[in-house]
Amino acid sequence: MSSRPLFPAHAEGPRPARLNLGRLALYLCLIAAAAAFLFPLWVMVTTSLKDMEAVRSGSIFGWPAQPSLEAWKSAWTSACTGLTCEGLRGGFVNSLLILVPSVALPVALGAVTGYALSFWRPRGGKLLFGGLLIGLFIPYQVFIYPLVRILSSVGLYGNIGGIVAVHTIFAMPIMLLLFRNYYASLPMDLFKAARIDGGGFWTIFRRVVLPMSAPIIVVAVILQVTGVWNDFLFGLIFAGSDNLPMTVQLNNIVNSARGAQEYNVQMAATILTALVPLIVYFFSGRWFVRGIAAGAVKG
Amino acid sequence: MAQDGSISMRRPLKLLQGQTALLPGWLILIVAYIGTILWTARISFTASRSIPVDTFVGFDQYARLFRSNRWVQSVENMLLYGSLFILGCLIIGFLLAVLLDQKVKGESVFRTIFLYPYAVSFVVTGLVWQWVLNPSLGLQKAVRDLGFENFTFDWLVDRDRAIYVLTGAAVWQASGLVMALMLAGLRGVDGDLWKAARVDGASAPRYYLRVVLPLLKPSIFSSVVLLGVAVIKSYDLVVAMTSGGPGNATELPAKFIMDYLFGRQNLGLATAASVVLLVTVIAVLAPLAYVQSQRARRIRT
Amino acid sequence: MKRVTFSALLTTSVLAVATTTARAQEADVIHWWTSASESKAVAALAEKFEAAGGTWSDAAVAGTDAARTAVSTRIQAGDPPAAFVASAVLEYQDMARTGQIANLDAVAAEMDWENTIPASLLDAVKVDGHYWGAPVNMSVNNFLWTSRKALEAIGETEPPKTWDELFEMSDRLKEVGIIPYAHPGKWYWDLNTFGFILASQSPEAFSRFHSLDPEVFDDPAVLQAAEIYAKLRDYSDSGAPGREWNLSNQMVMNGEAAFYLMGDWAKGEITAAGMTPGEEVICTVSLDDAPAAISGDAMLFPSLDGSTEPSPAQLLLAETLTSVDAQVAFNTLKGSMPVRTDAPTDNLDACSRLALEHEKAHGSVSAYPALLSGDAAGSFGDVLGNFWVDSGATAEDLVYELQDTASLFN
Repeated sequence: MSSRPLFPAHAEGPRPARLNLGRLALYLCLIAAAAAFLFPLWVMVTTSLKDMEAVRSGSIFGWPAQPSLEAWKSAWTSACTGLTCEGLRGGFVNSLLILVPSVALPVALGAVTGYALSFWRPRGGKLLFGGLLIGLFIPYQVFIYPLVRILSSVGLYGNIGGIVAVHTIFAMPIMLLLFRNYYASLPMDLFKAARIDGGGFWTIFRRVVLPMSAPIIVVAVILQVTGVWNDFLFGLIFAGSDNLPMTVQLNNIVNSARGAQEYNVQMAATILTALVPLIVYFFSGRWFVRGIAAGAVKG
Repeated sequence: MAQDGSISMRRPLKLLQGQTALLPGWLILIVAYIGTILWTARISFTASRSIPVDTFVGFDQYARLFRSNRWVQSVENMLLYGSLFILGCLIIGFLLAVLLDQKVKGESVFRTIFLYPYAVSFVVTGLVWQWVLNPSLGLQKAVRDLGFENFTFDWLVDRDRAIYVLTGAAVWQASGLVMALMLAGLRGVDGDLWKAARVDGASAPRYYLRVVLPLLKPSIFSSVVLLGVAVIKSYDLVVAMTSGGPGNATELPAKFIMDYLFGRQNLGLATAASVVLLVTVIAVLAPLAYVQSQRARRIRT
Repeated sequence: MKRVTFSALLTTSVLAVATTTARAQEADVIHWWTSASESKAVAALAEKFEAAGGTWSDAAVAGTDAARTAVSTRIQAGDPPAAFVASAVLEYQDMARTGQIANLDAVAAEMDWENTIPASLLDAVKVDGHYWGAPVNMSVNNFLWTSRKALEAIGETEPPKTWDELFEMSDRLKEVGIIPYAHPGKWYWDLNTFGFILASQSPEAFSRFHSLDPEVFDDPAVLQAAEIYAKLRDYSDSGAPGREWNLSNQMVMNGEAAFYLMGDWAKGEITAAGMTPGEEVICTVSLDDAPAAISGDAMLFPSLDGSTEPSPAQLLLAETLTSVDAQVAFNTLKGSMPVRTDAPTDNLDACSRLALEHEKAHGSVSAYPALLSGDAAGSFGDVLGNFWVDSGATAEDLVYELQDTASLFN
């Protein structure tokens, strides 16, 4: 599954030709780092494979004597989330329906705005950028009450449109920041050349800028997919009772103050919920391509 | 924009298109951000408790805020936690990105491993960290069970050290994201630079530190802002791992605001805290933004 | 074609009429009962409501803060739920006073609440002398849970009855390597623990503390309570800060620790572990024959269409909820106690029966969160949590800090 670059590697970064000592050390470092990162996941996975008896009595690090997928089944199909006990699956489709537009719209908006700011530098652009950047630093929960009022007055409350609007509002500064800064690092000459060739606003965006944007789009998508998929509060408030995302069920499974805690089901439910972003992370690798900018200059 | 002189004839139309593209951004800024910030500021001068009301009480909420030990300590904690967290993520994220940039086999697997903490809800990973670090349950107990009776690792419940383990867990979560950003930056670096550096006899570490790092400034800036935002908004992690304790040792401003906004139902105090936080951020951010804009200007000309 | 359209139209309109009538009795309910046993209890309650002609539309949101956010924002957006659960009416007193919550005085009179529900529960659903919520369940907050295994290790069979006995046993437990006391270290458990102690020193001081009486801090009972709290700290393990009660419970079930203080909901966790509350883990109410500290959830009904008169569906739900029948069905499954004193007690488990007997013998007081605002409770909790980890602080310091905090609210 390694993401081999599309272009032959001859003109690219440091790359010792064969497996030597340095190469070995490199892999050892990577494996050690990976092990450190995976350690909490190990605890989660082993816990999810135990029954509650084993969770209560045993060490948290040990592999279960009798691993079982019961907790996973329960998390997906039968864990109680209120009146019904149907696990997480109910909200999965809703989460997807919220996810797609809530990722596509902010990423597109961020790319276009960032492109306009970086290359066309319209009047007031810096003010817009600075203003949004400052807005980023307020704990967004504070915005909930006024936003509820504003959005319900324009009919964007209690429906998919409402939740997409909220995700777009809160993602805008970050998206803009990512794209604007990425574009700032690209050579201005490309853009100038395209303008001399008579390219218009959208033509240059499509033909020149967008093809160079793959790595930053990956980062933007990673950020936004994670944010939207894991969002609980906005989904709960703005999506309306028919569109509640999966995290509402997850919260109902995980967050029970006085009820008995089923840690194994909680762990399984959490890993299940995280699968969608994980899949996106894994496959986004194809788009993490090196050397496009360099290639475009040469081409 | 003097360098654009050769195509000045078409400028009005092009600029118009540039402006049109910004409209959604302006709409969001004015309605959703400025509008709500003004609302927040207004509520902070009222006696609002569970619902917004118009009983104005002047600076009373601010007075109570600064009288609160918890708020003052939250801000102090944030400074320590924030600087360690940002520094930690930048260093680890950069190192991981450089390691991954060596055309390694299984890059996707490694990248996903470094990123996964970011995908998993903190409500539960925080719980896992709490277990691992809890002296009666986790590491300390496991090592003692192996026969090392005197092994002690109780930082989580140590007032002076809990903030460091909190930072550690936060770095674990976010450094993968910095890695992705740095990697995006690295992939934008012209491969010819390495050839040139090699001709000059530079070693790989030297190449990355002297040639590549300066080119990654936009990625670094984005990372710092993203991490800074994460610091300001750190809430889930604290709740899941320490609940702000022991005592107030790991309280952070966002948790203070959230507690008073919902659990403790004091909208007035919560909004006052938000305003103070925002003013602080502007005070820190304004010079940074200035530096950034100066830097951008230098690059372009 | 035309006929088909017509009949389709007819069907649609009939359906529409049917839906409207059904809707009149439909209630969407925001609640936080999502664990396995709680879910069953909700299902039983919904069943009773539907049998009475209502339609229960479930809107479960776990976590008090999240549920509260959902409630407040829906009211703000002009789309209130028909009913929601709260841990106290006090939290919503602003809304009650501004007419955003329906007044239940008529239901209270009709169902004769005043003669069938304990006063300490009714106090918790009143603001300015009117009823704004219906009591749902009753919990006893001040149980002492004792590990039988740990007792046997020091040759005892009976749990302590007084603080002196508890500390005497604790010394011996320490000697055999058992943690005497497994404190749950979240601020609300700190507060619950302090309340447990204060009620055992002086029920009167306990009530005055909860009404934020600034002079209560001159009462020697408060200082005595602070001293006991400080002493408990010395008998707890170092893992306490931030610990959820489930983990404390686990330590007591394993016999790793001997005691901890928690409400009756701990039973659920004990049962889930395959043990019997009262057997492996012994339950006793308070120490020194103090009254039972009781609390309970309440159901509130937002005003619909701008009227503080409850709608037919809301009325029906409030009546159903406080009927003996639904009370028994719901609370038996949930593991709490019916609010009605005229409810049969034969379904109750040993610990709940013990609590009822204790209440008859020693009376009851209203516990947090019924009478303390979230703001005040949280601020006290912060003080108690800080004290727990500040080994240099004395009981006098604690009283001073509590008094200073109380002054914020006067």
